[in-house]
Amino acid sequence: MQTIVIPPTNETPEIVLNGANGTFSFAGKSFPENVNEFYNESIQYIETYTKQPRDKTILEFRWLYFNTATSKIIVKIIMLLKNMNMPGKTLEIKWYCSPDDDLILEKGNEFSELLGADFSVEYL
Amino acid sequence: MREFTDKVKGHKICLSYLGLFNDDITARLVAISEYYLENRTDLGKLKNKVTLLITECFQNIIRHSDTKSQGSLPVENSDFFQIGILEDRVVLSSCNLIGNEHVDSLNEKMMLVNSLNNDELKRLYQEVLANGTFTDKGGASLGLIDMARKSGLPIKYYFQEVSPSQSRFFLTLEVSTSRERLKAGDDILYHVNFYLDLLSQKVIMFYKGELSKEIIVALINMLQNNFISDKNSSSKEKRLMVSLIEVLQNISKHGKMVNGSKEGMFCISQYNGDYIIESGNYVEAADRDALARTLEDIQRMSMNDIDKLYKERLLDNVITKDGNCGLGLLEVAKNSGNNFKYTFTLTPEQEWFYSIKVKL
Repeated sequence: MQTIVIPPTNETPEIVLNGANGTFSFAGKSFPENVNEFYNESIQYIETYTKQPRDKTILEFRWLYFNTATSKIIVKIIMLLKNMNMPGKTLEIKWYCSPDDDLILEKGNEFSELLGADFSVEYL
Repeated sequence: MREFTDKVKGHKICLSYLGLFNDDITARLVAISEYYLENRTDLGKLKNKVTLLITECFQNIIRHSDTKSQGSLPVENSDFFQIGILEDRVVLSSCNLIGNEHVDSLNEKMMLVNSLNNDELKRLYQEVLANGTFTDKGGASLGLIDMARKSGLPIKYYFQEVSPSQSRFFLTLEVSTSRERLKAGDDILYHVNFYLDLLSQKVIMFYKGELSKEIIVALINMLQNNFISDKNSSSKEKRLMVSLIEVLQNISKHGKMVNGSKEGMFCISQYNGDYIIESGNYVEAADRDALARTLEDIQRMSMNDIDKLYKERLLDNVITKDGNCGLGLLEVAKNSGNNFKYTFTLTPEQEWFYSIKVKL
């Protein structure tokens, strides 16, 4: 799969989707008024990837802040990758935040608890 | 917020800002002004002039302010900038502290610039450009000369001593397509008092006007610049940003169209370390009851119930076509510890006005 790089804007994050090595990263802020429009391309790409995933998939989030609609997109992306559920395939979710940023940490813990997915919190 | 809204009844847009000043904030403000002048008014031809004046005003504050910055916290004499877009004109005002030793020389510069006609200003501009300063006439910086040239009218200014060592320097510029309008002009004391009222209520930002996607993005980025930096990523400021995004996007999506756009107002202030967001907008009568019920329900919930409902909604996979997800008000309730008040007021024009005040 060809790597997709979506540069950041004033309201959307930088996204790097590298299906060839199984790494997907989202970094920055996200509050597009219509999340469906903005994230459609990424969701489709990840959906395609899940049909033939690499042995190890890494999902990385480095959020500055995001709106509630983006929260639902994050859930959707995690669920897509978590549901691959193929023998021998692993998913690693890295949730980056600064040590004093308890909002982003709280959000990470919430996703982890709700989705039953293991997050490794990496302090910046 | 009500008293500020009343002061700017005739404004299509009014944005008052107190806090940090840097080039990035200038760029956001220019973005709002250019977008609005070009798309929503008959003042499009003033766009470049207003951009230049905003830039000069900001440069003046950035370069010359004597205010001791305390990061994102509003200080006793915060630097100030305000843009007002009215039917027939644009009014810019600013205030910054200067050392008292500079008051006389600045006053001389202002008097000099204001005494010259356009041709004389042009000559002075060229001379300063060539020689650095125009010292034999007391000196005048390029910025001030340019402001006077672009505005086309004398610059209004005012000094207010605040201590034995410092004074506030107020500046007001007006641009209009109508020469008659310009002759009338605003009284500088109106802007001085507006600033003092904002300061006394610890306001960081007050906005009234269109809340389209473009304007919300620019406003949020302005605040981000003020609140979040590499050195300061404290979550209190982030909770403020996130709550404000939800409040503003709520207006943008559900507010009633007024004069062809979604309009609203908001005010952010800070008391004793708490941030307060107040917002207001018109809502359709048909939407009022449902919104009131939702707000009542949330207010009755415990924080545990709010968390539970929030998590349920997070997993329901529902995002409407236009991006609604049913979590905005719950997010605000979570971030504020369910500390918010709201009112619905029926205006004399029989419109419902919804306002919400959130303490974080």
